[in-house]
Amino acid sequence: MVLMDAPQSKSRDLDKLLLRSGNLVGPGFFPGTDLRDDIREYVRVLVVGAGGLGCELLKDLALSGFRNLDVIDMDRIEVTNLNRQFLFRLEDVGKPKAEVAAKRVMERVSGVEIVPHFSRIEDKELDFYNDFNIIALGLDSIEARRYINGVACGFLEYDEDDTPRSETIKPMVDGGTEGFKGHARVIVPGVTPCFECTIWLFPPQVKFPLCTLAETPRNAAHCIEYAHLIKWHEVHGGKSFDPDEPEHMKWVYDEAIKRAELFGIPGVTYSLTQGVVKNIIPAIASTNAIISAACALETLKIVSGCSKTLANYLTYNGGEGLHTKVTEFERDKECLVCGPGILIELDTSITLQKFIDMLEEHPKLLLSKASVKHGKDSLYMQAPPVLEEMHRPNLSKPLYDLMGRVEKDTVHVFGTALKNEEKQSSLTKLRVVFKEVDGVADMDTAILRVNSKRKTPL
Amino acid sequence: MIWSLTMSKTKYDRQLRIWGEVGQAALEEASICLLNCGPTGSEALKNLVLGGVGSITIVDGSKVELGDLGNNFMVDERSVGQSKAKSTCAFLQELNDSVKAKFVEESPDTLIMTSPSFFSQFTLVIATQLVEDSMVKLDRICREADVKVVFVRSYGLVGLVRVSVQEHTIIDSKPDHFLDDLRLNNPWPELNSFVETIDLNVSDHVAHKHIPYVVILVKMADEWTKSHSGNLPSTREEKKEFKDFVKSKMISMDEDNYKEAIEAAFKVFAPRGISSEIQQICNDSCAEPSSSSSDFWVMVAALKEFVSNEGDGEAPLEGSIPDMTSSTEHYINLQKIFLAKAEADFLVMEKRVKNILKRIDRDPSSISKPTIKSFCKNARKLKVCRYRTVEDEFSNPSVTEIQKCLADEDYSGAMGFYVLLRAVDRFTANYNKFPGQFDGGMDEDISRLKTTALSLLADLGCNGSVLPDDLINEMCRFGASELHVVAAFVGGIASQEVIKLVTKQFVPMLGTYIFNGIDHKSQRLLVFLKPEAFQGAIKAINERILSVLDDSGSGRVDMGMHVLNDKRKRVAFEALMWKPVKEGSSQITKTDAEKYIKLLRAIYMLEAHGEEEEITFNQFLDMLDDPDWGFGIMSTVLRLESNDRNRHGSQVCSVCRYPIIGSWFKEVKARFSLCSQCYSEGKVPPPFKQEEDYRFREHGSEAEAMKPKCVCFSVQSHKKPIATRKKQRN
Repeated sequence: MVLMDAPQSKSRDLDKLLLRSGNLVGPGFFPGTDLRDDIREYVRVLVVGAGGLGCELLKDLALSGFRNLDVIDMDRIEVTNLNRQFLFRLEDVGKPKAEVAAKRVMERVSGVEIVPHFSRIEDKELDFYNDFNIIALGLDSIEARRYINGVACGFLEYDEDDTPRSETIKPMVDGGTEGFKGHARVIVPGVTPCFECTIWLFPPQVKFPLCTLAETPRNAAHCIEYAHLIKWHEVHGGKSFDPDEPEHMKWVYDEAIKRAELFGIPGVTYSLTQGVVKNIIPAIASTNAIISAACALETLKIVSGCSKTLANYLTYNGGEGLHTKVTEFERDKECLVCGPGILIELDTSITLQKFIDMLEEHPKLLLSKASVKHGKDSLYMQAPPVLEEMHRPNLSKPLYDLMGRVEKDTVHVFGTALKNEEKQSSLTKLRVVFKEVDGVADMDTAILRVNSKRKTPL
Repeated sequence: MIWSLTMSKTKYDRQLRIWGEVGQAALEEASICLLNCGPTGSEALKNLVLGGVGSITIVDGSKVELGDLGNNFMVDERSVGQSKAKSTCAFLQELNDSVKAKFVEESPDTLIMTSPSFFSQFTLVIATQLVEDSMVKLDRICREADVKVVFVRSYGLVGLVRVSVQEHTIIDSKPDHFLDDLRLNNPWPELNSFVETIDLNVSDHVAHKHIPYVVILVKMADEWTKSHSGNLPSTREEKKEFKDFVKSKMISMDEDNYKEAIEAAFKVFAPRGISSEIQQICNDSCAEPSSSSSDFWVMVAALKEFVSNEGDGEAPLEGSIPDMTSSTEHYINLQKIFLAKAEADFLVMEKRVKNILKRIDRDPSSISKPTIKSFCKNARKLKVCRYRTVEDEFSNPSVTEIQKCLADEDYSGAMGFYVLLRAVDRFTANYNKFPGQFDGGMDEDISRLKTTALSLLADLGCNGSVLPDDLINEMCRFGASELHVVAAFVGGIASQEVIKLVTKQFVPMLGTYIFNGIDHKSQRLLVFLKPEAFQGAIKAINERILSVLDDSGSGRVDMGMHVLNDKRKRVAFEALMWKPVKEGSSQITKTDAEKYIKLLRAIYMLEAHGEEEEITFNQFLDMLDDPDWGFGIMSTVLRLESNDRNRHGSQVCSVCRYPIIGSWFKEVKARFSLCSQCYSEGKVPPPFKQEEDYRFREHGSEAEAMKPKCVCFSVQSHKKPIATRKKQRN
């Protein structure tokens, strides 16, 4: 059917936002067809996770003008996903989530290209992540968030005056839900707090003391954890427990029942056993939809400037009434992940030993007995003795060589620092720049020069 | 069949963990009608279909256009030109074949006009994208038919969600923070005799550190009352003394049970009896049962009788106890004693329910045992939500409140958009299009919308109120667009509310929620609540804050602390320093500070995480003043306090020198002022003598205190008595 009197485009509604000028918009908003077309053509968004949030995010982004999407997830579809992960059907159970999710969205929204990655996030090269303009996180674990946050913040570079270089900023939007509650946040590394700056927002997991499990169990969870953490190892020795193996779960359940009967404790069920052992977080479709929508909306706003950006943390609680709240968290200026770190300029000839000595003299550090790490590699460790001995030969080598002869890079140093006249353990991020390497000869004078004359024995 | 049952149990596992099988069964029985299946409606429905709602009926008379493909996932290229209701229905059915999905190809506006009886077949109607006129009509029809309605609207970057139902009663409200009823302040005989069998002075160290704190506290409270002429600790000094008394019984520093006892000591001092919120429910006119009373109100009537008879002021015991350091044997025994008392209370309640049913000529067994049991278990968590009709809201708005909100930094955006959402409906009635709906003529539309909005405000009686040009311009820019992400957000909220209404668990939202997708400073406008609902909510918040802040059992809620007074902060810091294991130190643990601040913002969801890091006074100040840490609760606390302060003209208690909150007692002759705490402790300021006969006048009683907080609604709009309910459902 052809609508004669109202020539329409598929972007009928979105055009109002992207083609018209507005009063409450972000800086650098240039409405017009160029903006709309550039978003279609050039903007690449990575969706991390194809679960409850990820499925929604893919749909939301595909219907918000984005056409180049990637999705990464290492999981396969399970029956318990079907109450909320609306892109999956019963017949998809067992297939990789990323692949099915990508296929379903492409089937329904023409013009959208979604590249699935059935893979662990850690297995991708760092360059993979650098190719995207923005990363949307639909994850359920703190560890995975920390990893992606670390990767995205790793791309961030600072000017000599500690202002982040805008072209190196990799923004993220992050969502999380539990039951009727959730959060959506915007992370612009170097500008707004990163995941690590506010890591305290996440509550610690409930852990039962082992003596309670072994000696004075009082409730069903204690019996289950006893079977899972103590009894399993007693009986199965080295064989590790696999929560996804139904027989393992059944064994733990049976043992928990036995223990509960022994102590006269009620309430052990198979469902509770799974909940406790797998640490299952209850999840429903509506909360995921709400939080993903907020994340996708922010993605569109960050990319286009078509409205103000969330500053910077939205919480939603729909259990008792309805509460939404925006909180503007602040960056941890000394954050080891997104902070600039202390800039140190070195000669390429400086040995690791000399470098460690310098740290003790450095007015901002006053760090003694330092261990040094470069990326994942330990360059030197003070303890334990075995590792100290292993790394000792490095001390006489130039740091420049140990760091792979790059002109500049980050190292982390850990040692004892003097703060407020008290000795404290301290982990610090340093930006090491080597002199006399092409392109960095003219470093700003603000660089702290390190007194390398004095030698202190270790 | 068995396979499919297990399958659906597995499929719904993650939600069964939230609302249980009872909630799921309610969901599977519900029949939901959706009006208009644009993205807002279809996204709302999608979440319910996934969850396994019983049946859906989609009403939409339009055909799929090309533009719909850009914002609605439920339609695709093949459906262009086809019925939108049909296409959407087909896709939704694909998501869950256990849902009965139907569609009606008809315009909702027409259906509302021509077939009002159509709606009575549903449990609930989700009405999306309706203009004012249709909203009012549908609301009237559904009230008559006792059908619940959730109104939803997406409009550019803003949206609206509003629940409408005459009355919604909740037994299982599942509050986030709820303390088990341990009756430490009022132990019953069986608990007392169990406690007597345990010797606190047992010489075996292992046994000593495995005595549950419930036993310790009941025992020590008993000892205390014996030496204090039958009274429990009531003054601040006595409370501290009591805690010291408990502490003195520790024989080593690693006794977690004693630490728990000291932390829970406040439960010994807590006032006896039911909360004011439950009292209010018992006092409701509906609690006088008649043949038309719902099951809920019959049980409330029984509760009321129970409280004033067997309960001795208390509700039936829930029977649950939290985990606590204890030997298995003691814990299990304690559990049994609590369960036995709960069972006994239940039997009394059951009998009372039966008698009432007989009295009102109903079958005495028409309320099932499990229902009564659940009622007893949740008797302290009952909730009653009542909503004004949409017509009442539109025709009798609270003028002062609209004006106040428009002038308030936090509320002006939400109230501005609320007014503008009404203004665009008036605009479209006049000009046959929404402002900015079509390209071109934008300037004209802007000035027309401005005129329309101002005349609307004038008609509402808000002469002189203005709307910011920015909001008017944005509203015209939106041009009635339905953006997918905004639709998914407000549609998601709507489905969440539907789940709460259908399962009768959790608490549905009150007021009108205005979504502001510009800066997310969305607000629930409480302006449009019925007075009693508002009163209840404010009271609940007040009570919550007070009880939470008084967790330490200090007996005084120090709200003045937040007014940047370092002296007070020092007091708090020192209070936290008092810990059995920490004596003689000048630092407190960060965990304690976090816990304290966490309690201050306890309405909030984020939990503090603990590490045994020690912090100084200055670091404590930083945490306290930090907007991140103190967020959520601070503004509410401050607002409550400033209300009270204004009410009392910034009066300060002559004894403790804290600003007076709550009731204010003024001595008639000597003219000194006391806060309720000092008054109740019989204190007088130093120059006066304790023995003299003073006469006090109380200012700011409960009713008076409520007034400034209740101006947010217009009392005169409450015309119809509540008891004129048509029929009952439960």
